[in-house]
Amino acid sequence: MIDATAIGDFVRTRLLRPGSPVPGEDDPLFSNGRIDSFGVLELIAFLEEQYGIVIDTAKHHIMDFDTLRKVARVVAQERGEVEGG
Amino acid sequence: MFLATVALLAASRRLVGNPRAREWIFAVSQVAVLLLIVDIDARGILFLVLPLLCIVYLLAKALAPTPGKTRPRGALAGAILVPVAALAFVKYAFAGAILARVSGAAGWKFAPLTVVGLSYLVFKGIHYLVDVSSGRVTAPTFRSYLCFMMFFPTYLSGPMDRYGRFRRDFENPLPLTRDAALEACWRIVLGLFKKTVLAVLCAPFAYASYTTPALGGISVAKAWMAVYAYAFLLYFDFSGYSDLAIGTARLFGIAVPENFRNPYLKRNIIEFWTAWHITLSTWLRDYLFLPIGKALMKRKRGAGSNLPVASASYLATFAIAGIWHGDGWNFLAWGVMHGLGLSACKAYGEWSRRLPAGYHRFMMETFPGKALSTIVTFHFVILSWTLFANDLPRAAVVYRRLLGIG
Repeated sequence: MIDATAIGDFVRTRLLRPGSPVPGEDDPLFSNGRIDSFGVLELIAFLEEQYGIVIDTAKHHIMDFDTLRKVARVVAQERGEVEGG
Repeated sequence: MFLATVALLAASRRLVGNPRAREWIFAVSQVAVLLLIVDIDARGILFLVLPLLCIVYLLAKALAPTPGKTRPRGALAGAILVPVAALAFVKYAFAGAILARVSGAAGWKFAPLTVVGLSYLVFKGIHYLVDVSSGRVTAPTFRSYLCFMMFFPTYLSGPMDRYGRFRRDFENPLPLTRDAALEACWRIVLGLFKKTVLAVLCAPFAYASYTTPALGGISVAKAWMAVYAYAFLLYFDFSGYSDLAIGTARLFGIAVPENFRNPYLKRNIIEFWTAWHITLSTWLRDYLFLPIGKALMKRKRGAGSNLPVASASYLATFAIAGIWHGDGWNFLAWGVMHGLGLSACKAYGEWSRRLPAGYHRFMMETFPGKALSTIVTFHFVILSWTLFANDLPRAAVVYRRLLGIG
């Protein structure tokens, strides 16, 4: 499975407001306004580079990136580790 | 007639056993309501909307993913051009003139059509094409597609639903309990109150009450009053319409998405666009902003700031949103103003990261900080509506008067 720690570090240091705590695996990121839609794009760019995958935004809903657990699931799907939902 | 339609559909659910027949009854009744109650020009529906819907449906079906078959490059973009061209020819004078000239040269007499609701229909069509072609939505039957596209409560001005969400409610309509019916009726009454009382109260003070020459001579106070009055007129009128649509749709067992969430209380322009005309802004996000941003991000070289990509994405998205709203340079200017506002908001967000945590706490957690952000955002938005309500020369007069110039 994908380790969400690296993703969490990226989100905290690059996307969240300074001083924000490390988000929990199920803490909403997008739906509660902690990151905006461009933040999701930055996150996607990070995931593509970090994990060598291509994420098609037409196939995924933005809410698929709402929590670290969901993000890790998208990465695992794109790497063929789990079936798409 | 409206109540008769609701009753007919409720009865058809109970009496007509065949789901296929029920869907056809639903689809045909939506078109009938639009033609008979809303009093839409029948020529537009019969000669443009329905043929366009058929074409979009067939194109989506052809684009739907098939195992072992690769779609030709550019096929989706080509398909999207069809509804976009239809909108352009109807909505924009320059495109209409081109069509008139071309059809005239071919010996046809081109009669311009007024098709109310076409802008929304085209955006829904693009959503449908993209989602079916990506496999996110499985190509449905034509009658099911027609129910979605022609659903009359949301046909004219939204809220713009998505096929998958609409279909879930359509297949399992929310039960119309006494409480649900009361809530739906309350939304309708609230919508009517906003539209026919609150918006009407604002109207005498908004721009439209001043003729162009008089506008130049109005006092600074009256100019500001026009700006505030128009802001609330627009909000009450549009959110009132959305309340009407949401309440009416609920009577059919469909819970269409909310369209407004206190937009004038938001603390920055990015937040504003998560609360104003939400179904349009989420459409813009999913079908313009994200694809544009993703494409630009791919082309970006090096590990530098992403701000240029963000700005270009916001500008492109909102320039298109401006053009979609109407035929006139003022709409484009309105879109560009919002694109610049969103870029500035993003730049401020990046720049302010280097400020101490105390500054962020003040801005985000204290009343003065929150109030300051809200006031700045509110005034940016209402000043942008000046471009929405007036053509460019008239908007220039308003802006000068606001500053006491001219």
